[in-house]
Amino acid sequence: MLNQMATRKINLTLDEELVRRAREQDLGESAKSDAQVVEDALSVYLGLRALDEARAQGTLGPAEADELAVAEVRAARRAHSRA
Amino acid sequence: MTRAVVDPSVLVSAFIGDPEAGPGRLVTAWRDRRFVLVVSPLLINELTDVLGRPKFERWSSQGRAPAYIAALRARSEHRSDMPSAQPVEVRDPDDHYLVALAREAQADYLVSVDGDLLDAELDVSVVDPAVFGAGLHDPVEGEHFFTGRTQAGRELRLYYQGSVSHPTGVKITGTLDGVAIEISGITQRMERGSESSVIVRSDQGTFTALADPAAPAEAHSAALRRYMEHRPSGGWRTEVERSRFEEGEWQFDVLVTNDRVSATVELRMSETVAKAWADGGQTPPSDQMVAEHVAVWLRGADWATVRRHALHPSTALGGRLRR
Repeated sequence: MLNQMATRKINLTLDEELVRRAREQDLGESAKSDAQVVEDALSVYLGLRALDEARAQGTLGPAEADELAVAEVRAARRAHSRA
Repeated sequence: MTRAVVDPSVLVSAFIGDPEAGPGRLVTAWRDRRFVLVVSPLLINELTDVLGRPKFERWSSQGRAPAYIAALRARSEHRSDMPSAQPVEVRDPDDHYLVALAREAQADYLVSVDGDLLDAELDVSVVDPAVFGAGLHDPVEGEHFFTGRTQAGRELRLYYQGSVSHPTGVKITGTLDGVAIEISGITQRMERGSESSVIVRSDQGTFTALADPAAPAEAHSAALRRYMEHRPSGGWRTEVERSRFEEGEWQFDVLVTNDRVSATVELRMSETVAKAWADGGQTPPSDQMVAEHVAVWLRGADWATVRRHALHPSTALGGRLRR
């Protein structure tokens, strides 16, 4: 589970303006800590890079991608339902 | 801001498919913060499970899938999953959790590429990624959906403003030869199967416009169709336009409309049936009785069904008047 990933405590010094801007971009969730805001911003940045890298492996046509995605999601749901 | 529950199949398709296809564009819209993604633990677990399957290793390996999913989680609205003891309203009961999530979160849309969900009749707006993308337009400028010529040869352009998921809230604006006009209503009239004309009611009067055959295919035709073909909650409005007695039958032309699209359904009945319906009263039944009958008959019908009935005459075989 991603939300159970191991964490490591590190101390960073960040530009206050950078944190403020990251918070502004974060759907206005003011309850988040600065650490959470920065971690989420980093997650989005890395995730989008990962998406670009995945697509660089070659992409499927729209119909083929949808068909494969639907088939595998249905299989996962059936397996989950049986479990 | 628009909030949407997105079927994991869309997010999977975006990961492995063309960035310019509907799912890819949806993720781009998420990246650009043009809507809020609503997720739940079950949805995230399902996405994790699927992208971890061997078929996706080519794309998912080297930590790419976990990073992608972490990004989606990091910028999304988190909701709890609903208990599974819910009435099943979709063909595949395993899909129900998405409907329950969209409903509980009061999401504007449930976005899917799965036909089972797209075909289901729900109180949640289920759309495919292309329609979803068309709905994420600038609400000020509006989206162009029609170019045509009036009978006087003037160019009419129509735009809609608002969310296609809430057709009653859509506002139609337009220009006539480039000058803004106020539109009070448009009706698409089906004439022998043709849907290429609209009747426009405006501050410049009421006129009929034929679609410009040279105009490019409308990118937002799906959105327009949703707006035009919206089934009113109180049912279709019906009105007898003409009745006649021919070849031993009573024949009624009944207009069926939501005041946006309209079609004429022809209802025929024998003299015997007409008398039975009249139940000792007026023969043939009054226009109002026939209109009410057709309204009840088509109450649950979508526009495609109404259109099918409009193509061929229907015959009332007997029994009592349905009211």
